[in-house]
Amino acid sequence: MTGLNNTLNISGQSLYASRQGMNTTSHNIANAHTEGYSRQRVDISAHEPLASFGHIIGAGAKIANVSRARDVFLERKLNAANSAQGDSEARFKALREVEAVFSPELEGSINQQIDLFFEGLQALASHPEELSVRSSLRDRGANLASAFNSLDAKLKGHRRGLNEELRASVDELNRMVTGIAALNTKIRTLESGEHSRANDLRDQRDMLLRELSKLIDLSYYEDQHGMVTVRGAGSALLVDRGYHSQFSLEARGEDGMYDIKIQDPDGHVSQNITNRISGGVLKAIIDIRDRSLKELQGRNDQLAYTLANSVNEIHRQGFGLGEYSISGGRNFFHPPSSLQDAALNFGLDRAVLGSTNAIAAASTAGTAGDNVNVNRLIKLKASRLLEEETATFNEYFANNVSLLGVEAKRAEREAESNNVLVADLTARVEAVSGVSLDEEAMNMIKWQTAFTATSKLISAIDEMYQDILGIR
Amino acid sequence: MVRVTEAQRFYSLKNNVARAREDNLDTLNQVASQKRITHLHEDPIGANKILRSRSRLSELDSFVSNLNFGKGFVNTTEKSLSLIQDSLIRIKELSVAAASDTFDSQSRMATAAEINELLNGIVQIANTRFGAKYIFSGFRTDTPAIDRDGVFLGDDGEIFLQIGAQNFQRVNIPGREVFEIDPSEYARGHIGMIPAISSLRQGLATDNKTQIYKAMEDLDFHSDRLTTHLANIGAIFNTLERTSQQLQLNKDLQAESLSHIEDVDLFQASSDFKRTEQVLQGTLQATNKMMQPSLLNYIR
Repeated sequence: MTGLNNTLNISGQSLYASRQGMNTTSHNIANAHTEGYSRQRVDISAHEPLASFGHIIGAGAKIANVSRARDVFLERKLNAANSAQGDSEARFKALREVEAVFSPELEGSINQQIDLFFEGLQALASHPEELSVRSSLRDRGANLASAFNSLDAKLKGHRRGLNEELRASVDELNRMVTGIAALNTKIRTLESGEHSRANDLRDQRDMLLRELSKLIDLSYYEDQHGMVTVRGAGSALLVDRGYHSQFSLEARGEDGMYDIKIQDPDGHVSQNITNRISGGVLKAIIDIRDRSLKELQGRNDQLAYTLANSVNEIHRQGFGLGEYSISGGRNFFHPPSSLQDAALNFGLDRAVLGSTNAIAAASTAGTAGDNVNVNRLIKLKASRLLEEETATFNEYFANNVSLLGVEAKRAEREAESNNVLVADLTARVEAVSGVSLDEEAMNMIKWQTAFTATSKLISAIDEMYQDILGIR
Repeated sequence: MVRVTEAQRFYSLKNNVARAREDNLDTLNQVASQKRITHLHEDPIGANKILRSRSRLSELDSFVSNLNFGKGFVNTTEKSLSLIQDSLIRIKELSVAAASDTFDSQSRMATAAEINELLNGIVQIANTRFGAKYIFSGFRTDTPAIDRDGVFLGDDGEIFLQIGAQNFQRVNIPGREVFEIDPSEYARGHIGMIPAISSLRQGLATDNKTQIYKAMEDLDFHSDRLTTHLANIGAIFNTLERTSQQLQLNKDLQAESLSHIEDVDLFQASSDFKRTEQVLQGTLQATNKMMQPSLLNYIR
């Protein structure tokens, strides 16, 4: 048999539940715009009923749980999409910076300097004996050289820039895996023994996983203790319970670029994961640094190498003026010693630098007006010496430009479609987990009404007590 | 039913505004720069075409300046050859008159003196320069073509200039063929132009009729040869002139096609700009309205 005290007790618990409901509503409203926050709800359930005088009578309500509203499946999809978005966005951003170097509007581009150099040769064909035409040609040769040098420097500069970005990214990675490991421990501690969930800490951990997925490809699962194990860059272990791996950089011998190394939680094995990263911002940075820009740099070297050698080969057959009119065999450009760094070392030959008389326009010794050798040089402009003999110098350069442009365009398109995908998934995740103020306003009304009703009940019970105590 | 949450609403509004602004800025860039491609990734293939087209235009420019120089050179050559031809005809007239029996040795001496003047004139014309170049010296453009005695000082260099992609055109007349004779002609008894005139002058001065007649034959020979050279140089000039016209046409077409790829269609661009501006304004207005209604407004 239950007494009036029991009735009061049920009311008390009801008041408590309503207040918790109000608390949670207030917590939700406060975090309506907190990134990564999942709305929480109070799950109320009925108490175990009691038997009284042969009847089973309800014993009021209790708070069963405070849970997060979320869809794990959607979140996994979102994290995968995040990796792809991180990759394509970083790719587009990096390529956009480089594309300015190849802009068709750029003054002094290699394309323009090649044109001007050949215009200079054409002028020399008309006026092989004139000093002013010769010095103008030499200036144009020097300008062409500096165009090659500066493109080479810019491409290398961009590669170095990306390389430095890796440093910041690796710091981020370390911060995140450390954070996830720490949260693993905290969640385990908080949740142990109780049936409740450490909702806000779990939100923070999900947030970190989402940020991490932007940087690198990721896979993770939650174990029975509520701790996540995270693997990334293929299957390298990043977080294992409360322990985490350590990322570090190591400069390569060949070009000073960084490799990314990872040391596992035990601190024993250290492995190079540079080429195993298959998603996220890091993939884009490494790919553009080691493939796209390297290729463009190589093609620039190839152009410089071929141009210098083919001009030299013909130039050596000719004769100059004055002190250079008797002997031939001189180069126009400084002969490149190897394909590598041909653009970096591109420059005028020392004799040509010293005197414009060294420019070999003539095919026979001692003739001022002989332009046969110049005409041979002029023919180089239309010669298809590159790309397996399908492209002229200008066409090869134009191909470099569209190569970069096409890659940037593809990255832009991928970034756009990934953005749409991520926006859609985010919207769907938010639809489940986000806070709706209208809904919270209704919850507020709900809990407030419940609270008011319970209070009325208590005052009724009070009156009942008065009645009982008033019996004489 | 899909729940619409605060963060979601905010996120989608933010995206919409950002997108509208981006489109607006892109069209603004086009209007401001008048260029269709302000960034490479907008049209990489177009950029490739632009570069190729510009390079082609640069070549055409070179051909035009080569043609202009060539025309000047050929023109000067033609004028000089005509002047020499005129002188030869004048000498011929003088010598025909002087060879007749009505002339006495005194008059022949006077004619010889006049021919001497004409001879000096021819030597001067033979050493005409175009710019810094002696036009009849072959490649030895820094050397006069002939000396006082008519000895050819140049060489047989043929000056070619590029006037088309596959087209190199010779612009000079070999001076040796104008002023000297080759061995086969020598074998037939001919002598060079200047020696022939000298010989005529000498014949007149010394009253040697055989020498005069022989020299007059040589003069005819040189005059004929000159006519051939004049015809050749005329043909070269015509080629240059014709190529010039074609080239101008080519250049115009090339420039037009470049402009097609490179330049923005201003009408299109400004109407695009107007459109995106309206989209942006509409989006901002809608955003303002979207953020307002809430149940909270109706709870006391």
